[in-house]
Amino acid sequence: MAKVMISLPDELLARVDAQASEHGSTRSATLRQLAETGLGERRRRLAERMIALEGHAGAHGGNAVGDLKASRPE
Amino acid sequence: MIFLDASVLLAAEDTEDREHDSSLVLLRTGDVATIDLALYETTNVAIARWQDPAAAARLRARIWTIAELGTLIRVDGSLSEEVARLAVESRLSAYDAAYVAGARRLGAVLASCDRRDLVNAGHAQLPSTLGR
Repeated sequence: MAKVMISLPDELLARVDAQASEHGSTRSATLRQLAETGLGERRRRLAERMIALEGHAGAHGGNAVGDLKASRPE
Repeated sequence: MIFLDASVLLAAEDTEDREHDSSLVLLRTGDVATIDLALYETTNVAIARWQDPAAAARLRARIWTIAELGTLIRVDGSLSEEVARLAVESRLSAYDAAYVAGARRLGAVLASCDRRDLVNAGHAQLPSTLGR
């Protein structure tokens, strides 16, 4: 596991430490859990937005790779 | 995390592409990344070849969503060196090498519909393979 040095405002660090204390956890584990939660939430929102863009695709010949390569200059 | 090349994004907009459904499945995972090159490549195809501005707008929206909530790699000095190295050593086009280099930077699997140049060469996997 990588060790990193990060900068946090004092107030934010105090909130992290309070959260860690409340759950009998460490600062490191709490930050890890918050990062996982935050990234998971972003992933969920990204998925929702991708789904919202569905339902409008058209028929374009079924050759995405060929179209892509043909549009690249030699 | 799955790194998408432009062909996967395009297949998601082409109902006739055999990877259409699988490409949508990958996008729905929300755990995706790509490189800024994809914006120019997909716009080029949607506008110049498909003549479908609405598809171009949706492709743009997908890529900006990845930039906002996922990971969008932007070219820099070290990536451009890696692209040039891959292009020479693996005999890839600079375009394909950019996607391969971007995926490697993130330690992600590259998804592509390009069987000939990327999948068969072991650089990428088809969306239908990854979605199994």
